[in-house]
Amino acid sequence: MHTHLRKVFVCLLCISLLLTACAAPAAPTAAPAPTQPPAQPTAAPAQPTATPAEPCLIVGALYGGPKNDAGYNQAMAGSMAAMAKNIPCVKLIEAENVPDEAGAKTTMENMIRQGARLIFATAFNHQNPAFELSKTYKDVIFEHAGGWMMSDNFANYFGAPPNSWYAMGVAAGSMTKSNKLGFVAAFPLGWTITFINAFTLGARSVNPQAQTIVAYTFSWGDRTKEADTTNSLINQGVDVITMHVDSPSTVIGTAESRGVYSIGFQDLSAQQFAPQYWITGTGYTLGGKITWLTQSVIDKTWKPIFLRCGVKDGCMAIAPFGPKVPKEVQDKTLQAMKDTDDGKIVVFKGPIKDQSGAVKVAEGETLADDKLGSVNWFVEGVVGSPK
Amino acid sequence: MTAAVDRTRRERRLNRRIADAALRYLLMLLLALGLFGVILLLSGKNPLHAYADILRATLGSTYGFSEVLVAMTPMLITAMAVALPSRVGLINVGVEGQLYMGACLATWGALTFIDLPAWALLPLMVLLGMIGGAAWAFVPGYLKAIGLVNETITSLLLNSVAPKVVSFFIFGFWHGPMDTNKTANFVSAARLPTFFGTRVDLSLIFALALLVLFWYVMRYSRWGLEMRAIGGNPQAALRNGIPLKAYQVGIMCLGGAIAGLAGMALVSGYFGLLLANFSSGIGYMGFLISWLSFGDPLGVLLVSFLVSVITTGGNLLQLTQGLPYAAINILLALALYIVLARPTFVRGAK
Repeated sequence: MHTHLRKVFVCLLCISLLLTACAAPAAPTAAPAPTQPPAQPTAAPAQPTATPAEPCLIVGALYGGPKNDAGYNQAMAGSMAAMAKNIPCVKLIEAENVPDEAGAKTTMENMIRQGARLIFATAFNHQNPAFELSKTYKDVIFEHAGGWMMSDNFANYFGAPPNSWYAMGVAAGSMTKSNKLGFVAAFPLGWTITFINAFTLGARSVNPQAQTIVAYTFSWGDRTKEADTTNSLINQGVDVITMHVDSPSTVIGTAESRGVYSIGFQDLSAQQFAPQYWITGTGYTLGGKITWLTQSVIDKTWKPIFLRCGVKDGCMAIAPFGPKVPKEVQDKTLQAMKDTDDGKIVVFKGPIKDQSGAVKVAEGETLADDKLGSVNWFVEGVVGSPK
Repeated sequence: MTAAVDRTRRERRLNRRIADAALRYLLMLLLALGLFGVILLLSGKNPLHAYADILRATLGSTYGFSEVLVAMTPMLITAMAVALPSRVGLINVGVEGQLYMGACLATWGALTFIDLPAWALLPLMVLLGMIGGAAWAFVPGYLKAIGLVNETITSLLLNSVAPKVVSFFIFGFWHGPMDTNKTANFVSAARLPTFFGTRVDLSLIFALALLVLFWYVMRYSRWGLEMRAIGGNPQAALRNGIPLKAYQVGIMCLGGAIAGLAGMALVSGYFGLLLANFSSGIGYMGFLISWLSFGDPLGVLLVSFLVSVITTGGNLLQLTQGLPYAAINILLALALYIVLARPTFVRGAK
């Protein structure tokens, strides 16, 4: 009896393993392309190892989650694909679902062993291992998305989301009827808090009554928790919802099914999950800058720079508006986007008070850009704990 | 004279058992690779190239082999944390949680006693890690012993609590100014020593020592005998005067302590810091490995080795063959299914 129980148990675990394998949306292995005939092993098409022309540069890119998550990883992978298309002589090798911290080291070492001389590490927790490897491999250039460390062969790049988040806040603040906005966040990280603050400041600039209710899932990609959190926010009366997790699909899909407005982040393709109640969204479109960085490595003109770029540089974009968004709200949102980009509106300009009413940024001062990643307080109007 | 003959016979039998087991697992591996090869063919890849890549990346170089050992170490320890309680009929699904609590307490030690030298700090962290894991396992063990709740349920449910406790301490007290989801890097005295410039650290020795100790105790000691008696028939064991409840609580705690050791080894050796949600299911993998190998030390070693080769080598397939990550999970699941089915290639295999 025990062995039976044991077999059933292990069977279940195996099935769950298989299910996770297939859970990635449209995992290509699950459905082999029907057009391809089952080739003989000997007749297999030329392997990448046997490409006739030597690539001018081998670029490694690693992602923290699946490449087709309609979110952060898709946005990052999309910009890599754009680069590979722009510079055809580059050979791009990619790895998805790369684990955190020490786990990412193996992947990057393998990439270097495959000849990669430029590595894009795109997950938050890839920064430390990439930086450590950059000390060992002096001839390899590392670029991290959104980090802050710098050295001779280590730099970072990212979009500048605070301005777009301010515009998203303007849209949300104009659309809400209950004056309660929901924000599903993965972790209380410095950047996440900055996004929430910018969003809230934007919302309150058009609707001083607006509040942002923050709830964490403590995971970048736990779909069950994301759905639960979204539902409980909606049950509290929230009527516009947005998020900072890897894939916006669950939160947006759940909001849509409850008839609640949503605002997307990370990748513009999130709109497909909310045909009705989509307001707008912002996402990363870093293909141009990645192309530029890669070209500079090929031309041997690469220098370590702390690269941040916004909507007007083409690094971030605003998604089309949904069908229920009135023209005046659309105009207001686009105007806010333009004003922040032109510097007419500075998002973190004082006076800014925190939740307790204490002044955090005094009149006439501005929160410096390099401080935005380590903010540990919420502005007035946010409900939730920054810890 | 007879004793010597006995011994050689026993040695020969043991050798044959090892050879049989190795052959059996090798054949199972080949079958799994054959099936996965079909999937590769269907998606237009050359399986021979893919397998050559896996072999080159794992067993073909010192670096690759060291990475396999690095991946295998926590699996070995967590599998022991399941195998031990299973001998007295306890199903410890809570390794994941016990691992987190062990890591949590060990981290507290590493962050508090930063001035201690390594020879004092590391044993202290080992001890703290084991206490953390044992304390977490005590709850299900005790509830089981007093006949209140089944340990399978409680230990499983506690798995989702432990990462929250870790997150509470990281986000509340231990995080750095920018990296808010992890602690600062440990001081070097709090890091397990590594060997030959690879990432293989002392915890591999812990794991192998545990494996041998487990095998020896189960086979040659009174405790082993009593535990087997409990596993066979708890009521009969009780009537024979074996302290059933004490064993249930004690063995569950010991299993938890081993899981806590795995947590300590991960933060002190592999990561060198404590990260929120660091484990990514190592505890569950240990559970799977232990049950697939029927808690047999040799089987645990072979299955963990197989799983590590697939995961380390499989990651490379993304780079060389452009396969998606999901492909590796499929290969792993196939391999585990076949180990589960245990086809009888060899006489005596069950």
